[in-house]
Amino acid sequence: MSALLPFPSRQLRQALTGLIVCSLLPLMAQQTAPAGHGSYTKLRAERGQSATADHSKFKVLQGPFKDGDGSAVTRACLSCHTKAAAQVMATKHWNWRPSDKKLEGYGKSTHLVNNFCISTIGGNQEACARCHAGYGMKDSGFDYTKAENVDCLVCHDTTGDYEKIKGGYPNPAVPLADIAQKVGRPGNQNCGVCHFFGGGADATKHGDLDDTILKAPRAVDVHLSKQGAGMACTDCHLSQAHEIAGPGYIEAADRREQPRFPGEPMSRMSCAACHTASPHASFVLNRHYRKVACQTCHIPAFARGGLASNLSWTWSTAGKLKEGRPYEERDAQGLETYNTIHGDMVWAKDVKPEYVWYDGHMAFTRLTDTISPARPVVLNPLQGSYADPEAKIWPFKRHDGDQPFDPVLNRFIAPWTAGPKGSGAYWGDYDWDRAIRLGMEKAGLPWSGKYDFVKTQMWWPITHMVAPKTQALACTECHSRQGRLDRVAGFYLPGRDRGAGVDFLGWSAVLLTFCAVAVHGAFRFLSSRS
Amino acid sequence: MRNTLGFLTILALAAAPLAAEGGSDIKGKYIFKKTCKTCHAAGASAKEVTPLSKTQAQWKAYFAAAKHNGGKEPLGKLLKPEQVKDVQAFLVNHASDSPQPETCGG
Repeated sequence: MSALLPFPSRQLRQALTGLIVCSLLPLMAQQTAPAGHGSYTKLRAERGQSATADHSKFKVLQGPFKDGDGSAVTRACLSCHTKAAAQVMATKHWNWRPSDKKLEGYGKSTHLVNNFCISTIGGNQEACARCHAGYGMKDSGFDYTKAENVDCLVCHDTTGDYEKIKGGYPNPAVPLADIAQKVGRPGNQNCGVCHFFGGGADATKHGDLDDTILKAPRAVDVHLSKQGAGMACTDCHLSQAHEIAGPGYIEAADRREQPRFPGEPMSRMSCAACHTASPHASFVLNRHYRKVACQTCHIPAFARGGLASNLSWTWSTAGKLKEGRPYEERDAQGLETYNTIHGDMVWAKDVKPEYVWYDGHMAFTRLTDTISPARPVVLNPLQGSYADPEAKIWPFKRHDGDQPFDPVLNRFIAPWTAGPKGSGAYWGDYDWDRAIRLGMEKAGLPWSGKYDFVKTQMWWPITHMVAPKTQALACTECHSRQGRLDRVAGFYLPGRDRGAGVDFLGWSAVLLTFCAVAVHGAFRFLSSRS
Repeated sequence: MRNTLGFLTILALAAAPLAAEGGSDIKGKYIFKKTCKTCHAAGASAKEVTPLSKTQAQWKAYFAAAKHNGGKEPLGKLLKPEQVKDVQAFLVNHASDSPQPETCGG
């Protein structure tokens, strides 16, 4: 008996070793694989060499330009690029509203309401214009037809020295001539100066866009990282005549873009445009494409770059003073928990997104819409359901908060927030009554004279900061009870859902199989002995 | 005549501190970020400095001495005279005890 033992045990040992090695192999392979192909970095360098104009040689750009006189630079640009301003003036970046007539009242230059600084049109244009691609936006009287008001440099500065101040003007300390002589194609920093800082500070609004992207390791963003693909924002957000592809209040949830003929322009603003609709080796994974957005599995968390994103902004607690002065409080991590000008705030890093059926349409709330304040008002309700063939399960950042509304007219309010002490603006005097009265006057909207606060919620789609595939969600993250898709309703999800009848039938079948095998084996054993 | 001279002297004396603070707050913020913050930031080579690091009086005293790096070198070595004024205006206007305290990007 003892002589027989070593043989099977050695076999067992070998089998076990084999199993361990096999399971470790893919892990080792991933660790030794190159960090990223960086093909776009090379592409961009080649493209840079193909430029035929050296702007530093142009007389018209030699300057000197008067301190802060951006329009003088624009006039110089337009002396060669004669159609550029007309192109820019047809875009969202200039008009701050979608060109689609069906979306009347959307856009920050009109009646849109958000969960952060609420609205621009209540007198906040001058402060908000720091992120407008133009010069001189001070109030609702901004001249959208004046070509020399177009700000070329904010998108075409390659030095990183350009900076805008109130009214959208360049900071007077900016070396305009130097920047004008070094203009080039927009890079990630150009997009980032506004889009990373939405909501008033880095990482505040989006959750998947912040300043860390510029220096991100591959693990944070496989596309934009220099160690990853080294892509630029503009590699997916392609532009045509200065209009840059972007959601514009409608984001197709399932954009299966492929050109129909060589050279057909398309945005490439979908994963499938490069990765196709069946990018996995596994048939089962590819089948998920129909109902699950790529982002759902490939972006396991947002705010992964090291900066916390804002999850909640409670305007109703703003305005508290300490010894007559505004103040701020921070938690142990240095995150702002209270600020007199904002109220209570909640911030977090590495946040698990919430998952929702989404067909690419949101219905935004405007200052002119009637709201029902009994429940939290969702400012951009997401549309879509399992039954909707366009809808997929998408990851979102949910943003909570509250903000002032008119309890008589049941509408939102555009308070004047950004202004100095004594002006009546909320951040100057912390007086809602005055800030609202002045804001609504500036916005040209009716106000009953009363205000109260209503809870609000906003949903921000998560689509950037895609993680390496080794970090993609494992099956059981969703296919389990209390998994990530716990609250996504309307369909049967294996592993999450169960039916008592089906379970009974299944387990009965398993049991019967075992019985049958046992009986069969027993018969063979007995018959071999005889 | 003597009266006029006296008046002018008073005027000159009154105007002197104004001239010292004649810099541009907005320009100062830009220069502070581009120059000072390259070293004086969290995780950078020197101690983090923001306008809140000192009171208005302390900033004024700092610029009166105009010495950098623990008194080892004059500020003029790093910035042009008008830039010093601009930075002073920014830091004083947004000091910890100013009406508009500011952190300049954390």
